[in-house]
Amino acid sequence: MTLVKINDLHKSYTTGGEITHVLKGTDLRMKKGEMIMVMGPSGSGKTTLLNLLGGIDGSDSGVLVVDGLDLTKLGKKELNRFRRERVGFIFQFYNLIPTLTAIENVELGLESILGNSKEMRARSRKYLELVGLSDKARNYPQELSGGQQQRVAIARALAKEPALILADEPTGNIDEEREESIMGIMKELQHQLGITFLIVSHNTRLKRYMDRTLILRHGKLHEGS
Amino acid sequence: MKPITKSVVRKLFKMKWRVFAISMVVSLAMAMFIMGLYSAVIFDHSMDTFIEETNFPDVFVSLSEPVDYSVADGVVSNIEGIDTYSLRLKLDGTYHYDSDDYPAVIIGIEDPAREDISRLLLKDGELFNGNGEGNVIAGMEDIGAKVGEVLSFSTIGIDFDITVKGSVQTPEYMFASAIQDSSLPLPGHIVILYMDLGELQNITGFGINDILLNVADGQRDPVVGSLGSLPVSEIIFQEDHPSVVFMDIGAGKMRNMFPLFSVIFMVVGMISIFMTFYRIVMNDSRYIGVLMSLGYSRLKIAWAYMTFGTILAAIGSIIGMILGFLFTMGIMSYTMSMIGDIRVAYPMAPMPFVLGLIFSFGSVLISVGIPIIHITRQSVRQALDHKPKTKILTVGTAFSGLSKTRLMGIRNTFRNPARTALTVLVVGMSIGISGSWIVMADSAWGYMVDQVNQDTWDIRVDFSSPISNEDATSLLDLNETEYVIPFAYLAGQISGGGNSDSTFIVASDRVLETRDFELESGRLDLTTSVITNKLASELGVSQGDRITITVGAKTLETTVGGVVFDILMQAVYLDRDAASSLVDRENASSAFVKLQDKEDIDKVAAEFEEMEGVAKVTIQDDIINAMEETFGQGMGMLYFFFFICLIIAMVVAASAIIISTMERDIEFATLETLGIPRRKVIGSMLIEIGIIGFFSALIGLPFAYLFGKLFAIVMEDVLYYFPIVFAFSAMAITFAFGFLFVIGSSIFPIRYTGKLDAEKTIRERTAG
Ligand SMILES: Nc1ncnc2c1ncn2[C@@H]1O[C@H](COP(=O)(O)OP(=O)(O)OP(=O)(O)O)[C@@H](O)[C@H]1O
Ligand SMILES: [Mg+2]
Repeated sequence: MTLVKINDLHKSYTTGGEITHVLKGTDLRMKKGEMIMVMGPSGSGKTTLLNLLGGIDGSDSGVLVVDGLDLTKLGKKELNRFRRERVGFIFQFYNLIPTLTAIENVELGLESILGNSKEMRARSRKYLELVGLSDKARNYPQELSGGQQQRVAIARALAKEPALILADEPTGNIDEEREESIMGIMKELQHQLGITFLIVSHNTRLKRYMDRTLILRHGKLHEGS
Repeated sequence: MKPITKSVVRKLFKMKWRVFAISMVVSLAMAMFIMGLYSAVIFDHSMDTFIEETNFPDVFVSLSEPVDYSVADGVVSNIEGIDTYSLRLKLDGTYHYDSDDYPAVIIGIEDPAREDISRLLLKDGELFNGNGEGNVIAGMEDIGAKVGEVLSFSTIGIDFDITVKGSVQTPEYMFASAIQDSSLPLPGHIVILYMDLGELQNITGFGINDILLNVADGQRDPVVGSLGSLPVSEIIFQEDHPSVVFMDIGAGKMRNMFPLFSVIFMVVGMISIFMTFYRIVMNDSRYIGVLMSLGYSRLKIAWAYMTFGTILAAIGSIIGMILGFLFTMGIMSYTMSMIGDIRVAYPMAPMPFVLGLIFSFGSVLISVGIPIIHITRQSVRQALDHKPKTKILTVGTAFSGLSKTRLMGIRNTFRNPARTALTVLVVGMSIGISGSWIVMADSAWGYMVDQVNQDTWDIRVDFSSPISNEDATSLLDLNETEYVIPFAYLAGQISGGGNSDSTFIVASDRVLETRDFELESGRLDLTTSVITNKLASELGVSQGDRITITVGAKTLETTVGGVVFDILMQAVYLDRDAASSLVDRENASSAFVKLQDKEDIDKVAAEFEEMEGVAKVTIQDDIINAMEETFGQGMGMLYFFFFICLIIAMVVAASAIIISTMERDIEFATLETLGIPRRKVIGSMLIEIGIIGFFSALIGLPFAYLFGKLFAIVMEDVLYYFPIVFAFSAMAITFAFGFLFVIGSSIFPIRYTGKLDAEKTIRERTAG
């Protein structure tokens, strides 16, 4: 079963009359429950690709279907709903809400799906524990280290148990030991719940967890080694 | 442009309409500032222009009896030092309208078109041209004195009709409309008629009895000294003419009142401008740190931001000057119509605008400069590390049931408590100023009604000619009446304390029963005299002082036995013995009647009206209704200020909220990527603004009370004394409107977050 279907996708940015073609006919097909890594030089369009898949940026042309939804045809409100229910973002720079504690940041993502329920609170606690932060649950982001913040961001995305997780350098600030345990959790979620992962990273160590590794270069995805 | 200046200016253009909103803070503060100063100048100037334009005479001479025209002309034309003069016949008379009589002043003049002395400014219609034509002073239209009507007058027992060809204005009787509009001093209606001198002389057989003079500089005293051969009864110099005195006092009051507004709005404006710009610059701290690390000098950085500030101040100032001029126009036309419908003359007075510009540029540049100095004094490291201060109070942890977006709203409010407190303070102050108008109106009105309610009578009856006390009592004593108190009611002059003023005289032995007199000082001693505090303050007399009361040729010398509170009336109360030298002790001109049951008022009043010898029946409630009408006219200005201040509160709140929303754009972008429903995001903002609105409106209440007191002190000069009282309704209105206007300002940040491009924001914010 196909979860992501990208066909001849184009995306360009215009700044000051100058056009930058970032994606030039990209193709990608991901099966449900697949874990894929995308590598590529800086500025090649990796983040752009994630943004398009997550529905926070619009494409110029091409096919872009996620979980049966044609993102190019969705309106603002439907895209919002799509993000809420089917996608989990892990940002390169975490983007935690500074006025919410670690646990509340996790709850923030869940609340809009599960409501303010017991299940929501239990699940938030569970995921914060999984990333090894149960002792920091009541801390605000500014009281956490960069790596800890990144883990909260990971917990926030995973806790939703969405169809698709989009991660941008999810382990950039995390030590090797933690990296192993977090990748372990992701693998488990992949197998138990059939969650699909698209992970952007320069980190070659992650290759061993992946079903496939792709390289984004000159606006197109290529099979990597 | 240097790259650094460019980058800052570019930032400005990216803010687009938000620039406009923030400039509005500058604009409104400046507009109110200009209005305060400029209207005082215009007020003075309009008065002067009015006096000059009409060639208002230097000297007014009244004769004790009419003399032949040729006699007077012979004397006056031979006096050296007189530039121009006018000989007139001026008589008191009566104007009959709709079965009522009103006092009238009838003035015969040679040429209505004369411009060199006491010029008549035509308001409507045309000037008279003999043939039973005349002109009236504008303002008495509601009693039929209007263009095209044929009016009936009588003087010295002779009746005649005059066709009104036009209505005019002159400083000589400028208050006709003010008196009628503002029934406060209660002299009621009076009609002033100008007609052909020859015609009036034919009707009455008199010559002239009134002389107007314009004299050369320094010649006033010798000129006045040369009038000896004429039967002069009174000489008034221009500066002592009641109109000029009134205008001077009025102008002085306005001069004091309007700049006070300026100062208050300047303070509010300065604080809010400072808050706005300080935050804009502080928000850029990281960026400034980068510039510093690149080796830019402090001066260069400051210069770049000053350019930014200057552009905002310039936009704000242009709008501010236009608004300031419009506000001034509004307030002036209103004020002028209140005191006599004088044409507003706009002087070339750049000063208020120059001061306004200095104020707005000064405040903006200081507000930009201080944070720049603050940041650039730090090390580069500190500047780079700066984040919008987040001293998060751990509020809300108690409510685990609260949704996370609501929690965000609450915590954001208290994220930087000092800043929130300042916002609440400034917004609260603006709400307070706005509420003070309501508090003031409420108190003034309440006090006035209280005053009227001190009267115990229900109906007042005026007889068409004096009747005896017994006849009056027996005539009006019906089954329904509780008391009938006949009294003599006269109009006269009172002098004392070196001043003189007109007054009403009420003479009755039972006058103390007609009103709950409240003593200010002395005793309720009717055997000497009891006067109202309004009269006492006009004259400058107090208990024990000698006063002289004159009614026609009769006079009474007595002392002030007591002063009673009465802000409305200039009145003297006497018993019949004390008043016996002024009026026959047996004669009553009017009577107060109290009924056993108020329900019967209309019925009894109707019955009285049918009676023979009754000229006029006044129901006490009607007085309050008439006052209410007058007061309603003054409310226009009040509402103007009320809403302007609310709009200022809203703009201040909006600019504070816009900036704090802009500071947090990354958070709103994150919420969007998480797919948080829009209504929850709006809810979060509404909570924050709601809390600010609630507290602002709350602290607006004591401010409303405080500013009300302050304004009341000024108003005591302008209008009359009234105590500021606590009124729940005024507080409720202030709170409700204050809260609503602040909530209304949420439209700006809500729109802003609605248009936020999450992808770009995240890229931008993580770029540094
Ligand atoms: N909003 C934008 N406006 C203009 N150009 C943009 C915009 N967003 C991205 N780009 C351009 O698109 C290209 C791809 O950017 P993107 O962020 O996707 O790269 P990346 O592969 O994620 O790089 P990195 O590994 O450094 O994160 C870059 O050349 C960038 O300059
Ligand atoms: Mg990237």
